[in-house]
Amino acid sequence: MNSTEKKYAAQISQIMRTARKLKGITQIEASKTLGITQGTLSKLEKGDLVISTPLWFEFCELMKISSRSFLLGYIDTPLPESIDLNEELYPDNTFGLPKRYSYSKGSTVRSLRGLSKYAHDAWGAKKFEAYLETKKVDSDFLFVLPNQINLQFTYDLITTLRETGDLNKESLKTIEFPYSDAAFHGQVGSLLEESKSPKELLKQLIRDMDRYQINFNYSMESSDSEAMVIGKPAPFLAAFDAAREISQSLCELKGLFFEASLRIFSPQKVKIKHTHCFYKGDSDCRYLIPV
Amino acid sequence: MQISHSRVERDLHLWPVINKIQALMRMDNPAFAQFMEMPVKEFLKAKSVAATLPAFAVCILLEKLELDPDLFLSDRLDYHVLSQALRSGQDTLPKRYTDDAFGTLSTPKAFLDSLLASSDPALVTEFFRALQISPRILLNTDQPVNMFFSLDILKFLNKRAKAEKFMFDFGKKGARAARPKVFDLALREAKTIQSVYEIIPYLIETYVEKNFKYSISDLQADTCIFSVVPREHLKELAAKNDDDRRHLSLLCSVRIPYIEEVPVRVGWLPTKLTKLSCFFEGASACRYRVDFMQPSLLQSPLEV
Repeated sequence: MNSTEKKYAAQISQIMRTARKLKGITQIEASKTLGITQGTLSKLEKGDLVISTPLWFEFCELMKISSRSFLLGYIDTPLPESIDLNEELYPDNTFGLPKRYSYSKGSTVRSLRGLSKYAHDAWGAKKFEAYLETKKVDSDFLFVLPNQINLQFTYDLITTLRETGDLNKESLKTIEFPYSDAAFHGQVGSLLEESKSPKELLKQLIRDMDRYQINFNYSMESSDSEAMVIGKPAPFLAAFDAAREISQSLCELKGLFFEASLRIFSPQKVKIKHTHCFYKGDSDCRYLIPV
Repeated sequence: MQISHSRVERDLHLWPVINKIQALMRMDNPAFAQFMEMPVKEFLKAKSVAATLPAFAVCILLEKLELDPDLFLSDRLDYHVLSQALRSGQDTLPKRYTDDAFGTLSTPKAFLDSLLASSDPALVTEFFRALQISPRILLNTDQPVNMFFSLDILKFLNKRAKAEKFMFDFGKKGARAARPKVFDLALREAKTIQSVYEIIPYLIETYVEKNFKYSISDLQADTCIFSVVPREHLKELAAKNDDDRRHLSLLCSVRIPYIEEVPVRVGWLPTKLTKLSCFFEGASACRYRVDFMQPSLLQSPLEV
């Protein structure tokens, strides 16, 4: 394999493995349906073989994923209207999420991937994989944007990032989340890109927040120059355990998420004020955003 | 589970469809292979026996041409529409990119090649969509183009993380990009690093881009001052809009590594540029101090 083939074989293998797990079928079952040997599928899933055009399209059809997924680096699916805690989008827990993270799953990978990427970049791929392994979370889980997980996972990740010194007051000022790239939002990104003003973009984002998370129920009030984004905590938030400063970091990260997302419209950075914080005793979280 | 097209059916019609697309794009085999990110040898080998193509190459083709995979797979592409789309993108750049054109597409083309090599094709497709141009436009690199094109590229890049790093790498690579033979001949004739820098302003203005006037001053044994002044149309552009001015100031991220590395083309060590002032930040010109590396040791260029 030459370097281009290797690069794309690796990208495709990631998507193939993830899609099969998402579907909840074994390599034997998938290879039977595709009419290839399990050995061949195993090699394809390891990136040791370059997949042919007809087989790739057949695979995508079988798994109901976009043939572009490997170019995007994630699997996104037609968007559900919102997260439903009582209903699994896919067959029951096919990625084998541990109990600690699989109740009240109010976050999706779409909302988590900024922080995950930050940890991945700060620690390096190996250490990040090792972290996920200790938490018993399959790393492939993070390649499916609508996959759901609970807030405890985010709390644990923030806790560890703080323990390793990679997340502190200073770094919270400088983190640049890749949400400024519309593609990073997955399918929601194209809706955001159509916005004609920062205010419209923010409105669309708030409208779509259910596709990112439901730990807070967001609404927006705005004047000509400012918007107040209000996040009311969901009742089930009390079920999660985190030190106060950890949950406060979560709110600051949310502010960075809004800031980065607004840069889809204009590269200019806006200063967001976190005026109320649920974790500091207020009844909700509020962000004052110039628009 | 039902599969709507069999693998054999798909394989059978793959090449006729690919051949039609290649013909419409009027690309020879090496250019078309490159477009699909395939080694030319492998492309020719597969084509000669109508062997199946790697999925990534076909997906990249679909992505770049914005073709629907379903229509492609079922051979229901409307070639008339495709032909029109390709042709409309082939000959005309939007007017906003051709008024007061002082440069050619060769530099943006080098930029895109660099973007393609360092990131994913989806980003490149997004770039073409954002600028509302067709990839075909880049086939004629002699086309005149104005500063708005570069400005839109900068705006696009600035929305993405690590833009500065990308631009730095791009500047560095750009210094070694293919140029007319006379460019390197002229550089080779310069016998000292100082005389290399005496000729660089002329070479950039003549062969690279004409949006700025370049000059050097205060030439000494180990240093000189390199000045860059925008031409009138750019001054007007910068005066009209703060946002444009801010983006134009990003050009330094490309220019500094570019000017540092140009001498490397003919075997000199790279130099070190330090930004002293920027026109787009209010100064009368963009000025840089050039420090020549080891001037006393280097009486002639190194072998390359």
